[in-house]
Amino acid sequence: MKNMLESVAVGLVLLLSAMIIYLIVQYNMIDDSDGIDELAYQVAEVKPVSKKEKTSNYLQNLEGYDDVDVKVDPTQENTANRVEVRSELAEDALSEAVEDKNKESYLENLNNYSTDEKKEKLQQEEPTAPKEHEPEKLEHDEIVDEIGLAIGAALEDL
Amino acid sequence: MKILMILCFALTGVFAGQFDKVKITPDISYLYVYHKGKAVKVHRIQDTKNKLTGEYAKQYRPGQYIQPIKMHDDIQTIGEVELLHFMKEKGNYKKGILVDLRPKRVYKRESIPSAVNIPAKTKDNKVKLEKILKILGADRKADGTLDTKKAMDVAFYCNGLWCEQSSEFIKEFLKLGYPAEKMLYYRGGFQMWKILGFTTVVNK
Amino acid sequence: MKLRYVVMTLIVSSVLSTANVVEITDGMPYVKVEANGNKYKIERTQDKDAYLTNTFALTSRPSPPFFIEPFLVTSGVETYGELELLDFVSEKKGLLIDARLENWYTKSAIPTAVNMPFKLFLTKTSVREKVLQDLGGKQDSSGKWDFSTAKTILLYCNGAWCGQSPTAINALIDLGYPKEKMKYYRGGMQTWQLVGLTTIVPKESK
Repeated sequence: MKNMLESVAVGLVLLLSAMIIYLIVQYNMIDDSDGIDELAYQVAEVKPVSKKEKTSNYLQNLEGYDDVDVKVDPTQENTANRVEVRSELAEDALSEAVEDKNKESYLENLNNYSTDEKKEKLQQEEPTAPKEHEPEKLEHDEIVDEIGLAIGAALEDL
Repeated sequence: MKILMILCFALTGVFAGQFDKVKITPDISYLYVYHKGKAVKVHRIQDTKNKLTGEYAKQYRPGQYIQPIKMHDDIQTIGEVELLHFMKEKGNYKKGILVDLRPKRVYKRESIPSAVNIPAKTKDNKVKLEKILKILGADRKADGTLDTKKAMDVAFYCNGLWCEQSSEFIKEFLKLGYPAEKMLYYRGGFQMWKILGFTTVVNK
Repeated sequence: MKLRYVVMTLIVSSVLSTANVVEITDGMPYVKVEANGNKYKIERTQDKDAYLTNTFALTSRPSPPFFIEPFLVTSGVETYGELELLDFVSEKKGLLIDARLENWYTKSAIPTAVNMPFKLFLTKTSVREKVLQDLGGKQDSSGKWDFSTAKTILLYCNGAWCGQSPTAINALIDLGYPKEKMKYYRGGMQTWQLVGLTTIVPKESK
């Protein structure tokens, strides 16, 4: 039984590898027409579009659009696009119980965050969003939210 | 091989949100911000049949007056695009902070990602306000003046364009010496944020 | 004495009962405006159960053509809110223009607004020439426009996700219309209806 399963698994792997190789060879044998090159180029780079073309594209899209009305119960809350974030204030309750001294060190650490050089670079920009070419991810998935915790602590006081 | 290359580009496009049906601006479909230290993806609802319902779809609002477009001559009123830009360029680097002025229980129910809660009624508590100013990087000097050179930029929001709480709180902040140039007023508030289908967070 | 007291109470309570519970803003229960011989009373909904339920409650229109518009169309063109629009119309500071395509405008519009679909500003046509002249523009022999005596115009469209009025404004800027004579009500029909303000269903014109 075990041997049979083993040989079936090996057979499957060999078969799939052979299929992949076959497909790759097949596609490589397709005549390199101009169409494919252009396609790859267009996806890689955004073609500069003239302002007139932009507005005429916009007009076309708009004229071809129709609102889709749906009946919903307006009194029912809709929970779409809602994310739950667990508060870290549980840890903060601890720091609240501790003396003011620890809070001072909190604030000291915050003061060390100022980066004046970077601030000057961030001038008031035109009200448009920045361009992006790659999926934008943050450096860390999780950081310590000192400022939020500190504000929470300041409000909890007294 | 070229087909594989094309497939790779296409997949990158999908992950970059290029093929999202409902975008934010022509260049952006989403961005990440930190909320209570955790990374949250902010994007719009993709279901084109989705409607706003519930509390924020109410039209009847007695005693809640429509606010002027500018809260103060020197304070900039911003929209969603500018707010997202602020969150990305300032909020994510602790150079700026988004403040939710609504009551605590309303904030906990649902808020804009990356926002911290300072209920508007805090304006009557001078001690707490001074603490908050310090946290934001404003130093109260011995002569009573406020040194705001290192102070963070602050964006405020409330329920919506009919919510007066924000203007009262912000005016108090100005009185204490916080510079108007470092303050932004997201007038549309939580109502506009919701009706445009943006991600919200539940603060347990 | 008692009769006078009763009469006074009746008068006061009747006045109070007809007064709007929901005011537009502090001290402004409603606004009376007129344009083109039509009179309108603009107020907020007094219906306790009023919710926004029509297509303006939709949150996610497809991109393209719908994106979130920046707060300012361009620096130099002021963005207006509801109060500024009401002041503009009631004080007759200029012309309120609904810049949407006709099929949007005929469903509902802001009282006193004139429909000038943005697309008419995009190409040189006799209709555009006439509209620009009506707005106070003067064309010289070379075809260049002089808008120094042109009207101040306030444009709106569907709301923060609609690019129709920004497109109109940009097209007018290209034609030389002065930025300080153009205003943008970014909230549009969506926000106008969301706060329960009066809308009208325009009659079929032309």
